[in-house]
Amino acid sequence: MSDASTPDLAGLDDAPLLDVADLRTTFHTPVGPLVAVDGVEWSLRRGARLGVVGESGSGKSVMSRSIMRLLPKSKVTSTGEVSFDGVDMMSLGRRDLLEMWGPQLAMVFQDPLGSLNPVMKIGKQVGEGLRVHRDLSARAARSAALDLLEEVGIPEPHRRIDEYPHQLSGGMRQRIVIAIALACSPRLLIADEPTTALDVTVQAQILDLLEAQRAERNMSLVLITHDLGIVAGRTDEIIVMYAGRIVERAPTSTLFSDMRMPYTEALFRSIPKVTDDSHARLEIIGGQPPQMTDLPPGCKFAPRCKYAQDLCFAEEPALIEVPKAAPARSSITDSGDDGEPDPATGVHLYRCFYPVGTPEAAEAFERNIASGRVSEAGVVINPT
Amino acid sequence: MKQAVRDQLGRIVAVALLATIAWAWFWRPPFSWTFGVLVVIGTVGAGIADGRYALRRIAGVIPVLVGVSFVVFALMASLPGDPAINILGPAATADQIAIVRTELGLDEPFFNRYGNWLGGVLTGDLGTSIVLREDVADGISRSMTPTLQIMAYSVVIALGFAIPLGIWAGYRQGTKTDGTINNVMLGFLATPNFVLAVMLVLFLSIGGLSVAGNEIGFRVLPAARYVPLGEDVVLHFKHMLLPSLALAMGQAAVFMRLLRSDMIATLRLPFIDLARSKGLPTRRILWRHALRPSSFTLLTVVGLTVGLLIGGALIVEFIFTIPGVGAYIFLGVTQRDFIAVQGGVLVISTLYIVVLTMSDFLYLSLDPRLRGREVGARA
Repeated sequence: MSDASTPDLAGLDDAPLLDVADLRTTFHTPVGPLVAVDGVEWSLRRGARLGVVGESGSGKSVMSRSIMRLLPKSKVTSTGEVSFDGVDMMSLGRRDLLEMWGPQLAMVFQDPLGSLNPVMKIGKQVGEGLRVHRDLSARAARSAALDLLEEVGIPEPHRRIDEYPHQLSGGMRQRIVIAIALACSPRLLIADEPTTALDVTVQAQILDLLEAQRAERNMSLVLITHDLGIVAGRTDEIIVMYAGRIVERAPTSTLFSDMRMPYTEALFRSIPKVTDDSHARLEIIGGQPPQMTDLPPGCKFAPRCKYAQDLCFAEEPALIEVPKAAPARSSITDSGDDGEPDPATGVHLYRCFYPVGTPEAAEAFERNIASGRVSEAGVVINPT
Repeated sequence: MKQAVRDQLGRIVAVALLATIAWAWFWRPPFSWTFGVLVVIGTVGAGIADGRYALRRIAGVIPVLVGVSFVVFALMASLPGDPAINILGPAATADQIAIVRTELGLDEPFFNRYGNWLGGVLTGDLGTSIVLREDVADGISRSMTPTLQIMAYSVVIALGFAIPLGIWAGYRQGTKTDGTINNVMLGFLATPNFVLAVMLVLFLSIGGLSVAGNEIGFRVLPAARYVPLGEDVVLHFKHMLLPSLALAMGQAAVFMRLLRSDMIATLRLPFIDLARSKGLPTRRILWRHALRPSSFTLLTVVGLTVGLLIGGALIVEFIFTIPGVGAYIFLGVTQRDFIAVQGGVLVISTLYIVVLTMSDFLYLSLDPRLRGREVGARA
C-alpha cells in the first residue's frame, strides 16, 4: 500500500503517456443506438495510477476496451482521440494494434477462471506473448514464464508451470492473468475489476501485487472497480463514471476530502466502515442505473439523487472545475489518506448544479424532504 | 506417475498403435495377431491415460461384447432357411442333408452350438465359411482392409474440409462467407452418398455427359476395382479417391456445422478476449486457443462415424466394386452363410465398441479438466 515512490517518479516526465479526448463509443442495438461511453476525457502520466469507479453498466469496461480498441468490429463505433505516447490509437490498423497489445498496453480481466484457456498449460499461456512479440524459442519462453510466475508470487512455479488453470485457486489464477499481462513489460496496464471475483482475503494480496509490479516497472495503471474503497489508497487520481460520462474527476486525496458529486457521495456512503455498529444497515443507492438506450434529458443521476431539483431534470450540468479557493470540507475525511494533492494533476472536475457540501445543496435537500420526494435519511421515495 | 512422464508415454503408445495398424495393413499378419496386439497396446495406452478409469471402461466393455455375441448368434440361428439345403441345392436327399447338418454341427442343441462357437472365438477361430470354404477370420481381415482404408481416408478428407471451413465460418459468423460455406456444405449433406458417387464416376472417370459430340467431363480417375496398398501405392490412392470422396463430403458437412457452432460459442468466451489483448494474430487465436475447446462434440461424432463405417459402406462399396466388409456380410446373408455373418458382425461390433472407447479416452487428452475429475475421484 505504500505509495512513497510515486511523488519522485512523477517529476520525471510530465508528458502524458495516455491522452483520451472526447471518447464516444456507441453500440448499434436493435432498439437503437446505445452510447456506452459519452465524451470521456482524461490523461495519465507515465507511472501514474488512475482509478475508474462506477456501478455496473456505467461504461467503465467499455471505455477501457475502447482505449485498447478491443471492441468487436461490427455493430460498435468508437470516435474521439486516444493518444498513447504520441501514437494515435484510433487510426491504427489491425497489424499495428497487435504490436501495441502486450508490449505497450495490457489488460487484466475480471474473471480469472474464464480469462484463462482451460485446455492450455499455464506456462504456455504466460510465455505465448513473448513467443509472438519477441520471437523467443519455446525453451526461452518457458524459462521467462517461470521467472514471471515467481515474480507474481506463485509458489512452486516449477510444478505449476505444467498445470492447467482448473488446478489452481481463484487468487492463483488471477496471479497468472497478471503474469500474462506483465509478460511483455507493458507501459500501461488496465486492470478491469481485477478483484471482483475473488475472496476478500485475496483481494488485498492481488492489489498489492499490482501495485508492487507497477512501481517496479514504472508502469502506468488504470484500476477499474465499482468499489471506492479499493481505489482509495492505491491511486493518484480517480474518475467517477455514471451512464457513460465522467461525473467527477479529482486527485484521490482531494476526492475523498472534498467530493462534489452527489453520486460520489452516495458511492462513498455505501462502503461499510469499521467504525459502524456491527449490525448497522448499509446505505444503498436507491433505484436502478438508467436505461442506456433511453436516457433522461437532464442529469442522468437526478432520479436517484437526494438533492435533485427541477433544473437537474431539465438540463444536464456540464463538467466544471472546482474554483481554487473553494472551502475545503472535512466532514468525510475518515479515509486516512490525507496526503497532499498531486501537483501535476490538481484539477478537480464535477458535473452537478448542487454540489455536495455547498449551502445550495443543503437547501435543495431540505426542499426535497419538505416536498416528500426524499426521506429524512436521504432515501429517494418519489424519483420524479 | 508424474504428468509429464505420463504424457510422454502416452505419445509413445499412440505412435505404437498407429505403427501396428500400418504394419497390419502392409504385411497382413493373421487377423488374430493384429487384433491381439491392438488390444494390448490399447489397454496399456488407456492405463497410462488414466488407470482406474480405463480399467472401469474396459471391464464395462466385456459384458457388452458377450451380450452382442449371444444376440448375433441367436439371431442367425433363428433365421428361416437351412444352410445345408443352400449348400447341396434343391435336389439333395434327406440323408445327404443330415450328413451336412452333422458336419456343420447344426443338430446339436442351441446352447451347445453357442458354447462351441464362443470357445472358438476366444481362441481366435471364427469358423470356416460355408460358401467361400475359407477361414472366416481370414475372410474378414481381407475384406476389412479396404473398408478400414476407405473409412480412414474419408474421415481424413472430411476433417480436412471441415476443420478449416468450420473455424472460418465460425469466425466469420453471419457474413456472406459464412453463408456461402454453410449453403455449399448443406448441399453436400442433402446429397445421398450414392448419388454423389455416381456423379463423381460420371464426371471424373467416364467422360461425363456427351453434348453434341463433346464430352463435358474428364477421364482422370478409375471408376472401380480395388488395388491393395502393398501392390501399388499410387494406383491404390487413385482407386480409393472417388469412393472416399463420395463418403467424405456428407461427413464433412456434418463435422463442419458442429465445429462452426462450437467455435461461435468458444469465441465469445472471456479467454479469447485475453488472448486478443496479448496481441496474438487471429490465426493463432483460432487454431491454438479456440479449436481445441471447440472440438469435443466433433470428437464424439467423428468417433460414431468411424464406428459406423467399420461396418462397411455397402452401397459405395458396390458402386466401386470394392471387396469390403459390407460386401462380405451381404454375400453371407444372401447365401445363408451364418458362420461368416456371425463372425463378421461380432468383429464389427467389437471394433465399434473399441473405437467408441478410444474416443472416450481421447477426451481425456483433449480436455484436461476431465482428467482432473478422475484424479479427484481417486484421492
